[in-house]
Amino acid sequence: MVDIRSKIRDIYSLEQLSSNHTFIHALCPGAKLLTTVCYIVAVTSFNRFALLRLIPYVFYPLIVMALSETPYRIIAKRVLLALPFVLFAGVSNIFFENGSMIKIGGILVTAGVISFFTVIFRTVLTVTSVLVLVAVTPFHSLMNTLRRLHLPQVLIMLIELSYRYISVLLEEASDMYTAYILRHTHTKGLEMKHMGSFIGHLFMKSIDRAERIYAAMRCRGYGRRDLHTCEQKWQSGDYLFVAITVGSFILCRFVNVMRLWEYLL
Amino acid sequence: MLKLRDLHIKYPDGTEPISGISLSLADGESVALIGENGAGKTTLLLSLVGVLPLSCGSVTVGDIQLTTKNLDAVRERIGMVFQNPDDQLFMPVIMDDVMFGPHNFGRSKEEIDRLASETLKLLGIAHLKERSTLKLSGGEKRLAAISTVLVMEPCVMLLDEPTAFLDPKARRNLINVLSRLPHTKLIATHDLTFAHEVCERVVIMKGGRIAADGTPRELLFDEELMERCGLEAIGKGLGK
Repeated sequence: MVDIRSKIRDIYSLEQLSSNHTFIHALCPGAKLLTTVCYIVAVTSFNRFALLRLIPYVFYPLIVMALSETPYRIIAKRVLLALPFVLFAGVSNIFFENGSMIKIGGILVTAGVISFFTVIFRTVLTVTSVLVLVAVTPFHSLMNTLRRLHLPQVLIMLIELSYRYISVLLEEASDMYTAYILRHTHTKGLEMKHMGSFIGHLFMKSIDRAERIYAAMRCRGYGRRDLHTCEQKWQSGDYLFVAITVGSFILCRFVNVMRLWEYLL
Repeated sequence: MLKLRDLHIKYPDGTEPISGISLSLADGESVALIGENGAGKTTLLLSLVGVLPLSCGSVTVGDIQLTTKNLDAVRERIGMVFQNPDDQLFMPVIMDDVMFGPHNFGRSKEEIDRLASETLKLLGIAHLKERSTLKLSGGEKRLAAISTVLVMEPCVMLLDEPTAFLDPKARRNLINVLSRLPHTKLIATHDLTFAHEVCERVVIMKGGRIAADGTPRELLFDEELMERCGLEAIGKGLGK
């Protein structure tokens, strides 16, 4: 059960980084959100064979991570979690796009292989940028920014509460499983015949606990969004950050930086 | 400061956990609410902050009466510390949790920073401000939970079983902290010696009603009364 507990800590370790005090952390959440959205739009706007043109986009998350002192390992671990899904989705490209494109070291690389790697690379970049955003922005500030952008309240509340209640569900599961194992030493896991009752109880207990947490939040003013939304105002540093980052995204989008680099060399 | 008049709470299945409670707390008074399990202590506290709706009766804090329309104003004046600190602490670090309430109530950033620092210092947990709520001891969690409410500068504090899950040292520390706080306090507890030390008045509940109201000395040592209310008087059994 130490495992589940450590998993809960793992989930929130990224958010704990958001309370650091660096130049990136001090930026207005809106500026960081806007930059991330522009980054994602820029990265996803390339066609599926533009693998090399995506390379300059590696620098944005790397520089932000360095400036915000975000450990690369924490981000990399989470990016790896997303990879199997993309591999599954992109693998069909290898088989269905057979047109040959380039020769690398005497080996003919098909269009399918290129598009497969482009899909993976693109996913790594976009997922990393979102994870970096979460690591440098407190979760509640991020939600408030979404609220200020007039995203549907229901959607925001859904994100907020799902995020908060993951740990509640895991904690309850951890406690119940410990109690189960201590009285059931012959098996290593949960027996199938007890599964239904275990999961049923787990959900009932979690709902009960979630109700109490929600009541505690309401008692401290949760839901007074009219006031909650008056957050940090944009400073000159925020404008500068957005101008530099978004400007370079646009530049890399419309100018083939890799070819320019090749030409200069 | 806090006035409860003929309070009734009725659940949809017809059970009435609170039936006809009238109580008045003076400014700065500390009142212990004791009673056997299921007597209605927690239900009463939850109803005072509007978490459970009243079937009839009224709750008034200062000059504001609890209605569905002014829940926020009441919750700004009445702070509730829940029985399990894990229900109250949900942010990644303590400081975020402490700032959650004042932030929601529209305090300015400077004021929130000042209030949070002062509160943590007052409770002696300033060193925990950047710590994760998942890595605290029971006593630290309890103080952190109290600080999340205290920071909102409430007039009245409701505490549900504040000594639950605490070791003797943490319990003693909590007694010292609560005794120092000048707020009006209504404390639901099973810990009678704690009630005796911290509160100047005791209210005993039984079956959703008030069975007795008096000073700790009058009530907590009265074996017959305590027995009748499903409780055990202080000192009972010590001679055996």
